[in-house]
Amino acid sequence: MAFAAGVPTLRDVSVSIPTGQFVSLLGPSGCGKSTLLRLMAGLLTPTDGTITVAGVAPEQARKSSTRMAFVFQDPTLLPWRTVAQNLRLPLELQGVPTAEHAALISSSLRLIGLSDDDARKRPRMLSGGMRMRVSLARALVTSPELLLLDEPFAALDDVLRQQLNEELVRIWREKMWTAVFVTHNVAEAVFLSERVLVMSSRPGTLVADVPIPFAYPRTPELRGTAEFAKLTADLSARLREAAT
Amino acid sequence: MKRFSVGAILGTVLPPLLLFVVVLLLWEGAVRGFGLKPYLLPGPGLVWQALQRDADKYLQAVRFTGLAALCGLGASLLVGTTVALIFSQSKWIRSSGYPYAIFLQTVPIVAIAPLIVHWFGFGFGSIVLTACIISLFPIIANGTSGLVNIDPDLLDLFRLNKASRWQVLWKLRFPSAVPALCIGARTSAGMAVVGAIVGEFFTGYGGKRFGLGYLILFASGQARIADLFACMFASTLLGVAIFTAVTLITGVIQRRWYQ
Repeated sequence: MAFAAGVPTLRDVSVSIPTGQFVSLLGPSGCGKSTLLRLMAGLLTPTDGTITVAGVAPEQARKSSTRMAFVFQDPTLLPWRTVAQNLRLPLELQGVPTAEHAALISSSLRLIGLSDDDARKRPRMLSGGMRMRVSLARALVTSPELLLLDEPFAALDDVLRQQLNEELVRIWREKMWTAVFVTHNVAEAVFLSERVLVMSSRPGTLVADVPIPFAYPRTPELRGTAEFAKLTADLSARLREAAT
Repeated sequence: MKRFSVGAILGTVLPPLLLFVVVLLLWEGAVRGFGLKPYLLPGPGLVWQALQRDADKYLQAVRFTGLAALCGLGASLLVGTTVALIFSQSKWIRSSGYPYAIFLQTVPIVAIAPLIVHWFGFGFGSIVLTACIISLFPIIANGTSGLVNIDPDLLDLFRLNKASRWQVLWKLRFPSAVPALCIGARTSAGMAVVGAIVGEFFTGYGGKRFGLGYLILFASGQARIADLFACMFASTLLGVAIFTAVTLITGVIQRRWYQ
């Protein structure tokens, strides 16, 4: 895969993600992990090589066979709509019958821990963490089969990030979508995933495919264990190698 | 949201008012002190007399010009937004059409106004058209930039949800452009008043209906300097009133948009 003439953004990336798996793409800034995610979403077209989602090209999959949702680094909420109206957006755009909207919205709100009172607020009145929750809820409202997350918690403080990681894992266990999570935070990748793909930069390529052996449900205590610390240190070392 | 309080209003209104009074006093003082002749510079007292003597005439003219300016502003909002919506649909349309929009901005209105009167007659319509043309560009420019400069992630979000071109326009581009259109409307508000007055220069006196432009022309022809000052004050007050009204309305719209 290459972007502009001669300068490949990604090279020799060959990976297969089974249905229902939670995978993290871990790599230094600018290594092309977001590009890879956008290729999976069909938002970009590869100049070389192939990508398939459920057997067909991503663009095709998105339009016909696979329910796909994307969570951006910024909450990307529409400021003129309330929280509930923001959740309604994907339903409106995808032509989900209006009669089903209310039930889908309220179940998505409940899933992510937002109250009816929050649902009536405009994004401007919410904190950064709450906005990110709304963004997640908006992705979940269409019950995706494939969830692509592009460093969604990168702008949040550590405590908030950990809280949202715990909730994300809990919801994933409940719904079992396939998740591809882009991050440059090692602890986050280890805590969330069943498998971590480490990428290097310029050109972006896969340097390691590491299974994460910890059992689910994963609780905050996991972060304090020696095994967690060892694996995190291991991956950090690999990441440092990849960055040089 | 900041609430309006009596203190805040006094804080914004009182200082400029005080300055106005000081300037009036200095003006009157200078006219008397230097013994200036009224045909050179009439003092504020004489201007006030002129305003009072023909109060009915000025009120009627302000109403007439104000109505023309508001109609012109409304028309330019409608036309400008439509043009901006068309411009937002393709880069190609935009790059071929935008130079002509700039033409609207750069061509002197006094050069077009006689043509307008020639084609559309000496009536109210020509005045409205002049006001519309002069106030069109800020709406097109602000509207287009608001419709086009959209967060690429939001465009991706709409694309991922299989949004049609129409849905992108009405659910994303247009609502995103509302604040920019409000700024355009505020800029255009003052210009519409100028446009209406210029239009009246060329349509002149039409029976019992006349505006400030006609009064200015009339006073100038007879070298009534105090009347000219009175016209200037009336025009300025009208401009400020329309600008304030548009600012308040757009402020409410913008607040409703975000809070």
